[in-house]
Amino acid sequence: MKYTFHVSPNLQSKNSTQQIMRDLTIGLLVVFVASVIYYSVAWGINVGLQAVILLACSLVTTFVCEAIFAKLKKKDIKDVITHSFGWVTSIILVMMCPINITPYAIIIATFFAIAVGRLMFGGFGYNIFNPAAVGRAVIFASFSGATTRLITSATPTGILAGTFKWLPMTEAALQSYLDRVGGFGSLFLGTTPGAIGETFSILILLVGVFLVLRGVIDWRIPTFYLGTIFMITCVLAILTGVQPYHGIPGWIWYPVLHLVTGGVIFGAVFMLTDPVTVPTSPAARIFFAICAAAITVLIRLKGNLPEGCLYSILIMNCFTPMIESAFDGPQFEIKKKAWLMIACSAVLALCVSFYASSTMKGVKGAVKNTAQVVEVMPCVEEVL
Amino acid sequence: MNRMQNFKNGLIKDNPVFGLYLGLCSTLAITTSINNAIGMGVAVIFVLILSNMIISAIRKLVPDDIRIPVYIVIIATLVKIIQMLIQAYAPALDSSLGVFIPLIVVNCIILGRAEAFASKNGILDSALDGVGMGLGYLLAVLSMSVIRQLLATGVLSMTNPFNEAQVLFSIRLIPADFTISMFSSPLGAFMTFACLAAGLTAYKLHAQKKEEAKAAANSKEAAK
Repeated sequence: MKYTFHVSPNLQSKNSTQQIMRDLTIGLLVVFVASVIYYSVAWGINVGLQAVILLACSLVTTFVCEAIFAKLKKKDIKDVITHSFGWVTSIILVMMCPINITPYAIIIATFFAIAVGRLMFGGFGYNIFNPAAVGRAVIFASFSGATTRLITSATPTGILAGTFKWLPMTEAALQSYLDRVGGFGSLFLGTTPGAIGETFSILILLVGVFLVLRGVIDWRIPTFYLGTIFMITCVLAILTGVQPYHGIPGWIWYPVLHLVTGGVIFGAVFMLTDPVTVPTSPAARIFFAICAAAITVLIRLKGNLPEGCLYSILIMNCFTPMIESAFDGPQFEIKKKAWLMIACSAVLALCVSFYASSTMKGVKGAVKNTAQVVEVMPCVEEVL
Repeated sequence: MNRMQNFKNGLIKDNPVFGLYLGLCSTLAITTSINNAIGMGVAVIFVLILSNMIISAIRKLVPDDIRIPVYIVIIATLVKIIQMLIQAYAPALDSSLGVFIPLIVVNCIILGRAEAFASKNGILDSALDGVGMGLGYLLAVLSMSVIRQLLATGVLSMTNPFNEAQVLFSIRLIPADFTISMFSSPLGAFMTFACLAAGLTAYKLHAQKKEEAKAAANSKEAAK
């Protein structure tokens, strides 16, 4: 009998990194093309073109940064570019940004995402923070005023956060909100303004299912992230007594509203599943996703920002090494500990809804769009 | 020669901010404009030279056990003097520097130089060290503030600290649409600091390598 000896890891996935990144790129481009079509049809061909220009600027900046890095490190330029998958970062970054930002802003943001967020840590696989999220945070911190004013319309997230404080309590309030954004249908289909890629809820979910089936992303993170957001807001709706809407009870439509407005679905499928910046073991990933969801809802309901997806990702990325070491060891031996920690995080998430319900006052009546001047789509306030 | 070496070390090689990482708190906080940087730099130079000289003069009188309180009293007195002077003659500078003038008392550069240099060397040496270190600090905060002000506002400008209305110069180098306002926040301060400190370290490594190569060549020749 012949024994063969392999260096660990002995359980190898059939997917290579190249394949995974190719599938992810295809998934991202599908959503991107959908958004270009939407913007071209709904707002004019030049707006659709603007999205393409933004992507082109971002990609060129990425490749230039990586080429310079390779030159400085005296490595083969083509090899570095094909193995660092910078284009995935730049596609995600462009899709997180509103269409109104200037090409200059996206160039600077891409530079920070690639050079500071990724290459300075040592390149692909070594970065602590999600590089695309770093780039988006740079835009948030720097280019608040730099907008092209291509689209002058408030986004659903902006309206829900600004006018309704994320808590429309009655049927009338919800109806006046839905009248302004075009109903649940357009929220699901994504035919509303917002960040370039974030609005296409159904499409992103379909792409997510495809990526899960291909083994590209871990199903646990999106499921537990979105599920926790659903549970938190469901408990919140019951505690605050959100009224039914056309027979649909409040504890169903209110969580759904939370999921389809803003960037949580995009964040769950494309950003929280980044294999580099999230923990590796399954239990740790569940813990990570639950905590990220709690932070997202907390920022949404109680923070100054309208949307908390981006910062929940960045904050949880800080804790990734800590979570990783807490869930370290033989998975069967730490099973009890893992369950305990996940239960703790679930209790923490419930605390968010209790806290929010005890301190928030929802919007009871219908709110008419009193502002006659069309609002400029806020570039700053829309954080994914 | 040795004295000149001490003086030059403070400027570049042992630059207190980028080389020794001393006095970072005020450096990160006040480098938002050139005005602030020069005001702070001058205040630090003043306190540093005088405290170095006084501490060097009394170094043989002060018992070892209580030297830190004694130093602090001396430094605090000097800082109070400069703070009152700034309040009297440059109130605009006082309001923009705020709490960071009194905080010079606990600035590591001053106490560090008192501990490491002035308490062991003569008065003239200590004064020269103070000038070198102070100019090094001024150079550091000035370079950081130039970068930060330029990137955050696009304008390089300076006003007369004694008369707020008199603008000495104001040049717009970057159009207003292309500024990166992040650089006026603490985030930008840390980034600028890190890049400059990395640059200085790279320069020092480069110089060290050159010196080693030279020394190796010399020893080879000697062996021949």
